[in-house]
Amino acid sequence: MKKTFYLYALVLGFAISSCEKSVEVEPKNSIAPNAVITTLSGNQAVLASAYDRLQSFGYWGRDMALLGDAMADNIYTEVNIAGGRYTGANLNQRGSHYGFWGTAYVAINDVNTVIANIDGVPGSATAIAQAKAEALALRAMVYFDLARTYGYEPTKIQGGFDRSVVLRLSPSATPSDASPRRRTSVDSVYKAIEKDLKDAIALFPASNTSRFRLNKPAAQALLGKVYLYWEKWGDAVTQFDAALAGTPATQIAAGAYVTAFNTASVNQESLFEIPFITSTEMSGVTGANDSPFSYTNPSGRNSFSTFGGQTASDELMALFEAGDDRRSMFFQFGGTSATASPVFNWCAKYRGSVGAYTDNIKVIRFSDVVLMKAEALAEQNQFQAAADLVIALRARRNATTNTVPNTSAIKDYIQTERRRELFFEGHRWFDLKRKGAGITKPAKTAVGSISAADYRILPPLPVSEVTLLPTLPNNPNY
Amino acid sequence: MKQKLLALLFMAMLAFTATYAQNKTVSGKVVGAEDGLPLPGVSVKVKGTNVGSQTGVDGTFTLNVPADAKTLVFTYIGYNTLDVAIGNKTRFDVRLSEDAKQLSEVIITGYGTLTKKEVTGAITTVRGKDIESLPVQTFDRALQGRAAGVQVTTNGGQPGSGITVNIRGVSTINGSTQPLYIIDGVQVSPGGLSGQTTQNLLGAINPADVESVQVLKDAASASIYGSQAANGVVIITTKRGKSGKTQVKFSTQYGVNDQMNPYDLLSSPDYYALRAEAVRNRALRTGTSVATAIGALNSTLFGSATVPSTMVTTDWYDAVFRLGRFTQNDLSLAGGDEKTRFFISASYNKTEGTNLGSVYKRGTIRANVDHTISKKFSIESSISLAGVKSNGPSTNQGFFTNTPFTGGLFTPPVNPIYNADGTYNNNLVSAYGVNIVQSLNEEQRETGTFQTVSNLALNYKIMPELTWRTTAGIDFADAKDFNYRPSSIPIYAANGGTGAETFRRNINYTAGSTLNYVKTIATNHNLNVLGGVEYRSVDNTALSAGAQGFPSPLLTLLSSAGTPTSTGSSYTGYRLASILGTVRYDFKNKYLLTANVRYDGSSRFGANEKFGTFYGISTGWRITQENFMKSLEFVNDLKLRASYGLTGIQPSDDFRSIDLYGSGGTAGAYNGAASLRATQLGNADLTWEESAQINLGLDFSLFNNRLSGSVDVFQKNNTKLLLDRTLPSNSGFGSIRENAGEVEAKGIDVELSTVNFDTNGFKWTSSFNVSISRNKLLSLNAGATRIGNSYVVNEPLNTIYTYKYAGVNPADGRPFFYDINNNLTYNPVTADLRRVGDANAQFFGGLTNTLSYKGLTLDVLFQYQYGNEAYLQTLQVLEYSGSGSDNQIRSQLNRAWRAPGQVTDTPRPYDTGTEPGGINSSSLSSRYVQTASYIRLKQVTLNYKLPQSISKKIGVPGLNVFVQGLNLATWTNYRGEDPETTGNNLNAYPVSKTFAGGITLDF
Repeated sequence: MKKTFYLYALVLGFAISSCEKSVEVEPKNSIAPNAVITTLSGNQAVLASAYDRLQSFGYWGRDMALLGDAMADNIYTEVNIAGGRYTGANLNQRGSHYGFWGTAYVAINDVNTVIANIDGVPGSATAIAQAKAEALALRAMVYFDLARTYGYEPTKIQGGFDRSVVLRLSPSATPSDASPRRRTSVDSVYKAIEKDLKDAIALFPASNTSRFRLNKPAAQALLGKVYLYWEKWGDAVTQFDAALAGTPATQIAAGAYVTAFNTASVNQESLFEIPFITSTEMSGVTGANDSPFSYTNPSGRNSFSTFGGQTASDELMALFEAGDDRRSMFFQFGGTSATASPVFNWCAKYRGSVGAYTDNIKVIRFSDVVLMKAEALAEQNQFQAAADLVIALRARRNATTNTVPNTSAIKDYIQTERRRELFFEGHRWFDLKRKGAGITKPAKTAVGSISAADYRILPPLPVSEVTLLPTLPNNPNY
Repeated sequence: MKQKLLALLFMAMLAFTATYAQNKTVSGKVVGAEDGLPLPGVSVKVKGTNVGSQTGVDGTFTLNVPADAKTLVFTYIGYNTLDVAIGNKTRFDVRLSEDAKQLSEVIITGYGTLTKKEVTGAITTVRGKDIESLPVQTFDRALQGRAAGVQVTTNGGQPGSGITVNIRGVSTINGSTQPLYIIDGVQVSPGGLSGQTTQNLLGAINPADVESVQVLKDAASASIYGSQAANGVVIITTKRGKSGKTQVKFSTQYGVNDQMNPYDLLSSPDYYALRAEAVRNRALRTGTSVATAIGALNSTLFGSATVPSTMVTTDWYDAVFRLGRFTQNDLSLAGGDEKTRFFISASYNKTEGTNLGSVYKRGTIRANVDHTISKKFSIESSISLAGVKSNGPSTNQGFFTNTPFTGGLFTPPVNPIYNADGTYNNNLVSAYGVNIVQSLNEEQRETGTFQTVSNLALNYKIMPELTWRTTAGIDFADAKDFNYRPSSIPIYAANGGTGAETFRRNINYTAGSTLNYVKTIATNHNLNVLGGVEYRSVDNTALSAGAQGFPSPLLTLLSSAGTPTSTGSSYTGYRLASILGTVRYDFKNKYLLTANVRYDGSSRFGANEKFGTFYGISTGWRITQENFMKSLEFVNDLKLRASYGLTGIQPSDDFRSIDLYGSGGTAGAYNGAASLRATQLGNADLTWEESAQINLGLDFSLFNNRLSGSVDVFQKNNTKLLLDRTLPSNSGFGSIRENAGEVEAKGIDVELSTVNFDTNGFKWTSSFNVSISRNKLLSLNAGATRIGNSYVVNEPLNTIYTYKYAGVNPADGRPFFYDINNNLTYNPVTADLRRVGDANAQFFGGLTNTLSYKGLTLDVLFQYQYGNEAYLQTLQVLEYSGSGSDNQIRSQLNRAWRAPGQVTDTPRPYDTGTEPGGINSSSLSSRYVQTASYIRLKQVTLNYKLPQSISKKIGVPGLNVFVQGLNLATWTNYRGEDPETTGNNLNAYPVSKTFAGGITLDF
């Protein structure tokens, strides 16, 4: 009996000694950080992750490209057919607003990881410079989106509220890196964006890369846009000129406006475009639920089932002359069938040009840059030079050119021209906001107008952020 | 050896004494009172002596008794002890009746067994007999209302779906709230395997095979399972054979499931009237043309500006339901000889849910075999295999693609289901683009599972007192999900139809070895010591693929699709290594003591905290064994118990303690470039959540066992909670998991059994249970005082925080709310959120009444719950005053505000629901929160056992005919689908009423 006990004790002892190992399991779907950040391919994969975050529907996948039109005056949301999509935003209801804070910051953490780790990893110096330049430009772009959405512009501070966003320029590698921080001033965020873009422009290798990724001309155009929002007009013109000179993008010719948006490859005007792949990114019900196509096309047309309810507002339709190419971008259709009255004006910019429910998103477009340059010139009282740019653009759209003023009236004219050129591309909200002009809503919404000082110009911050750090602080009135 | 000699000597002396005093031989046969079948192994003794014998396999015995012997005592485990006067008789044919509350009832505590009188913890037992012929697919459902302190909540009406079992309430926030399930010694993982529909993993066990379900409630009893035991332990034992004639049992039943429809939806004319009112009110408020607005509404609804003279009403909710039929067939054989005993069973169940297309099919087989190899060696095997196929709508709650009830409830009644030519109507108004009847009929969702929970045990008697037992068990499941969405459904047409298949394999094995030493020292000291090791390993893998672009809706397999869209391959798993020990000691069966200890190491714990020690100690005092109690004859048994134990809850994520980078997969790639991203920040200190529990209990049995029961009072404190410390989302991470905070729970469980009436063959017994408990969150992560709206320090867990609804302003019909200072406002802000309730029941339980007369037995079970608040998410849409395009329930038409001065709770109809200057009238507020107390007539069973004199004539010794019903009636004020299904209850699948009839044959 004693022997048995000894034997048993031996077994037991063996069991204990091998315990530590016996209770270890390696995950197979994930790897440790070190295996990622010390290699070039690892850093490139993290950079790809940041680009992938842009595709989120709450960010550039849809809202940045469309919500601005609904919250401003280009879209009237038909409640009966919209399936709840943008119905609150179109009425500018409290809290119905942009909500990409979290998405933006995970993208920032991705690029921060790349920027902090890529120097010195083994690999080609050009590839390293390319990845780092893209990461810097991407960080600037995301911070710029955050800054212009969640805070006011440097020269358009309302009610003395000068808080912008939380500025993090290094990755959260440990829990202590992730400690709460307060929002920094509008000015310091704009300066950080400017620095990142300048660094990126200096770092981009000479050869132009895919326009599906950030590139030198795109970074220059973006920097110009930052200056435009900052009202540094001269700097803006410099950057726009560099961008237009360097990019392989070209302006759409007369008569080609509609077809140019109906291409599966990169739009000829795009300086930076976000591509979508139908089979992986719009599969199942994703496309029908969330795509810009689904929001802006009536259900039942070409047997596509959608949540279409974002129709062109009467006010937008009234801006077009009969011969303007851009008017052909609209079609009339009922809510769910061609015949059912009332019929609405629908916009065909998202027409499934890549695949079912799938359209690429144009982030920076040639004509946008041209109009921004015209604006910067006009603000420096170079009215004729500004008018020339607008006239050239309108000529390429088969629109009349004799109505273009060459006085200070060109300033307003440019804003209207932006509406005619860039409708349903998400610009309108930001154009009205940065001008501090307030918003006159489409009459059908019965909302009236919203002043530049109205708290609804800024969205609320995520509740969890404010709960964690009330002194963040939240935007006024939330 | 010495003991053996002594025992031998003792027996020899007995034999001698008996022989010396003999002057009479008695004989007879013992059978069970219920079934009339012979009982082997019954102890027959002369009262007050050691003269005795046992019955053989045929139930017969022969015994020489002394001349002066007056009484024979028949004792058998699980049966009432019977005293029979000898008198002049020599032939004794005895019928023993089974006893529900027998003190000698066997209680299984995991690594050992004991009798009820020896129990020192809080353990509740549900006997298989009570649940074996219920028309439920999984045994856990049958626990409802039958065990004090065990709250069983259905997650919906899909047959075979998962359920929630909470023992002594919920005391954790992120840890698992579910008990540890042990089936025949194998630790199984509860939950579901299906990604397409819902399928309960415990469905691998046929309820008719269950011998007993033991619930270890207090920490001291559960502590032998250490870091997995803080939510209690449920031990399921399946039936085993007994020596004797082979007993064949066959039962079959057939029945129907019928929907419970709690909603009175509007007809088309009523719907239109309410919508028109809403549109008109908005036009007037915003100063636009009423005629234009009404015209637009008419065009949207009817395709013309004028209202048609007759409107057809379609009841979409009714259209997604049907009468579901079910059938259940069980066959079992049990028997054996002295060396080998077996229990073999097979079953087939097919249950149609009340929802279109929802079906559950299961076949099971089982072979439980015990064999005595030699005097020292014996083996036990429990082998089972179950094949399950579930079809039907997916998980139970949620929005469109997840539940058909969104379409059933919200689709306006003006939409017909079919076009005039019989095809599906796909030109629907405000139906989210989905004809739900078409979806249910044409989309295929299926999960097929094969699962075994099997175990093999080898016992070796090293010495009479010392047994070595080694077990190895496996819980293995293969499941395949299949989903096909044909292009004939418009929402999938653009993609040419989509298909997805997932193959899952779960391998979970438990192996262990124990040494058990049992000895009585100096007749009064009973000692039972057990020590051992155990190892558990769980590996779950899944392989999936998706595709779209099918050339024909008839081709459904992925290989026929044009475009592959996704691939997936995933792995997760954990390991658990343990050393355990238990000591049980009693003095004269009067003073009882049990101590448990377990040392657990788990791969889920962080590198700094890999191992932990858990323990429990419990004591009992059987007061009735004291001399001073002997005079109180009405007290049959009285036992006081006290226990304290420390148990754990494991982190539920397998790899939460380490820093990880993961791939975004195909959907996470950018323009074809694969991505990698940080997915979590690790925490090397992450470890188990700790639960310390004190239990005080009293067991009693009075008045000749006519009133018996137990009362338990407990307090448990869960510390080191598994909590997510919120990180600012601007850091790129939402949270990090750590151990912090504390929850306290206290409660009382009461179980009472009474024999109300027992005369002339008529017997009425009742058993009642109630559990009262309260919990409170004492602290959270350092500095934090709340997590969201559900967890607030110094308040109960799962609070419901929202705006307090103040009803409708009688002046203008607009909804208003209380702000934080109790002033009225149209536009409440975040600061006005307040606690309007919590999701914890104040008390719950059940009441069973059993009436029997001759062969007729009636069982009636009520189940009840009181005081838990629940969200009414469905009603946020259905009670919207017609302000949106979704269909409404009748109260909205009848109660909406219409005239100044009218006092009502329903705001005036207003298209879009948001009047300028106010919030949306369907915003979550206390208007959509209600107390979900209820009493439900859960089960009624009427069974008739034909007299043997008749049934024997037709060659069937035992023949039972029964009818039964489930969920027959519910008394509640709750406005949602089902007061049992609370929590996330958006468009839930209501549980159904079940009516069944069947027959049981015993040979």
